[in-house]
Amino acid sequence: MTTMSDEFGTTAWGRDWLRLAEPTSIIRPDPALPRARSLARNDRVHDLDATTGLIEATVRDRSRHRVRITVPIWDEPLLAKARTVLADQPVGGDLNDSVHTALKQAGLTLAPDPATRTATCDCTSRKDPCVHLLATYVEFARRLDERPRLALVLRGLTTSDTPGEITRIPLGLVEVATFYGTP
Amino acid sequence: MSTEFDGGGALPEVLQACFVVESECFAWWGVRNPGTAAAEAGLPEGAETRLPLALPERAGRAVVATEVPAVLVDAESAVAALANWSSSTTAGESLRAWSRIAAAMRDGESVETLIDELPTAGHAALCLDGATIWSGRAAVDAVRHGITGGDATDDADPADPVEAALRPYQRAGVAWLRAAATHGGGVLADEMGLGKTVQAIAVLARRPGPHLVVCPTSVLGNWARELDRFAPGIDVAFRTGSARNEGLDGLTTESVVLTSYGVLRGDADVLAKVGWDVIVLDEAQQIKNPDTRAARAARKLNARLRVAMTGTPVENRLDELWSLLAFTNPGLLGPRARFRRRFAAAVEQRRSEAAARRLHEIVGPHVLRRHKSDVAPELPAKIESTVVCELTAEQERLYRTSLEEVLDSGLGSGIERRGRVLTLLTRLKHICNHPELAHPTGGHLGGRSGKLDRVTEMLAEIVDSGERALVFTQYRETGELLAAHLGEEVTGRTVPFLHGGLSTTVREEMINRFQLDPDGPPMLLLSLRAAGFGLNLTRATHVVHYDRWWNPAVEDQASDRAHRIGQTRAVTVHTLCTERSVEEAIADLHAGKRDLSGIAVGRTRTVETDLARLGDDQLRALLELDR
Ligand SMILES: [Zn+2]
Repeated sequence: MTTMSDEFGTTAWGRDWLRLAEPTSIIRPDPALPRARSLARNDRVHDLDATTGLIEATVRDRSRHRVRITVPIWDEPLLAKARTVLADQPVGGDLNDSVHTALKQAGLTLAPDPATRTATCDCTSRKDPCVHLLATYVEFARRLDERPRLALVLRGLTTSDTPGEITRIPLGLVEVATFYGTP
Repeated sequence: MSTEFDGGGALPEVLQACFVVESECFAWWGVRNPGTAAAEAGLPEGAETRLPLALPERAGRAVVATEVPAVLVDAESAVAALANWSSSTTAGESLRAWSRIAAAMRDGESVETLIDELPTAGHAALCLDGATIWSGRAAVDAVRHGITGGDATDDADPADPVEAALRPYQRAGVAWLRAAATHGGGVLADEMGLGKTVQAIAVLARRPGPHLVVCPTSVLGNWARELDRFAPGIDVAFRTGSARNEGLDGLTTESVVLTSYGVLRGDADVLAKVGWDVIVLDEAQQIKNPDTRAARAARKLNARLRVAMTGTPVENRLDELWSLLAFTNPGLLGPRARFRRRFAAAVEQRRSEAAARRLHEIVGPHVLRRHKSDVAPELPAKIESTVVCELTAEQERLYRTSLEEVLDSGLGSGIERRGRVLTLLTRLKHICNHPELAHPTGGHLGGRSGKLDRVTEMLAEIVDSGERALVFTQYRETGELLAAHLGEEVTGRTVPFLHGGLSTTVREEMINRFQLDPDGPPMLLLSLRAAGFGLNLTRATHVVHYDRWWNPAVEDQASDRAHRIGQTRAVTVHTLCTERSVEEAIADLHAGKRDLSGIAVGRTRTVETDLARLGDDQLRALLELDR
């Protein structure tokens, strides 16, 4: 069987979550995994929203299922540590894998820990995790590959992607909320 | 409540003010009739237009490019009016913030703290690249420039020749490059002819030095001329050829060192030892392959500001993009292997829009590409015309027999086939140019080639009306034949032919005589390859392509020698095409190719290779005369 391991988890940030779906410690991969990957690949994971401590998504399989995942947020001392590590990052808001390493070395947990994570789906499958949760892990891994900073938002850092000192701002990074002034 | 406009954004229905950086004027916008609303608010009225703007969609989730009705007012009158404007609570915050900034400027007070009060709506006009907006700080700085032609913070002297030469969009480009020094540098990818060199010189001229400019040998002379013209106070040192072994110790802080990619490859270690202030890589597509010696040497150089200049679009060529940014902004895109997995595979193979969008968010601030069509009012028109020419009986006979002979004897397969197809194509193209090139008889040239006769008439007409022309061909032999014939029939004097076999000095002389000498020749023949980039030949108002090249971009690039900044008259581009022949087939391919250009990413196959893949029957159908 060929793996598509090049498609998801192309960064250290994404791999943290891909490992939830395909743990390296398990020899036999979850038989539901190809289906989960295919759901993610075909954009069946909708409205994925990651905010402080919470990921929500709708997975359209045969019917629609709501998925909800929570992770612990960092406390203030941890957040302060994270800000220190991030302070000397290049402008542009993207985060290299070296930042991932630096954060880990500073004692910050980035990978979702099965012990403190909660994950629920409204389907009736008795399998845990169900294919919808797997698909959401895979999709979130892809989102992290694109936008590593989401991993920090999830842990409670509210800094936006907008790089401060640039002369030209891409439309994708223009904030809507403050467009006409302080709301 | 709000009204939707072209592009999906929704008008706020409240009057707003926004500064349009690249044309240095203010825009009143936000309502359906901004002119009326501005007059009611006591602001000057101006030219009505539709302004491309970044605007929140109705649903309020994202900002999209949208054209809105707007009224444009020049910076000076707008600032005067805004400074004295008595704030109205029904006006948008952007308008009120600009009013405070204008008042501070009038009173000579600092605007530093006021910049943070300017909401995005006050600087939401789309950059000419169509994908970014200028920051609030950039907009405020540009206003200062627009009303004073310079200001205390960057001690620009408006009498400075380079400052005087800059157009508003170029001033914006220069400001962007200067600011890029805080995070490494940037890729200036303005379309050919928009004046990248003058923008780079404006940056060099006002920084301490020493600076290094690396460019292809063919444009070294052009750089020296432009530096002399726009920054006469700067010492220029060549590090090429015989001067190459001179030490770099003698550099003063004023110096610009001009060198070639060849020297960069060869002397990488010496150049890497210098702490440069600014490094400019011109025609930076030379380092598009990150594994080449030139690219590796460039990445080793040390500078406070690194600028890569290229006229080719880079955002869709991901390896090239990585290589350029690894030079200008090291670390921005991460290691190459990760970048390829993360973006190249997603964008090029899976056509992921999300990945492409995200890539643009990362790269957009560091690459500036503007198109001539968007700066259009600045440049006079380019009129394109295809001149269809007939075959003479001699051409037709030769063409038929050449094609039949080759097809009858068989083309073989594989590499052998590719070679034979290429030879055949070249021969057919020679016959279209002139039978003498394929089958020399030593006879008189007139009356034997439809194209030669037609071009002779056209050029006689152009020269008679006192205008000047550039004539491009891809073949050295054709160029020499044209030079002889046109000298005899049209000008009565030697027609210069600029090609790759000439020394740099001779080429320089030819260019200067054509471009500057009052008694210079009315036409200049150029080989398509030798005249690729950098040359400024705006004295010509006509461009003739005597034969067709496979890639239309190469032809456009050649035409832009005349159709570029500095050109004050309309330029006519005449493309000759022999009816029913291989040339018509190329024209058809171009038509298809132009449609595909946005999609054809990372393809290096040439048209010849494609043609070699065709079967004998398809090839015959494409090339034979009775179609
Ligand atoms: Zn489920």
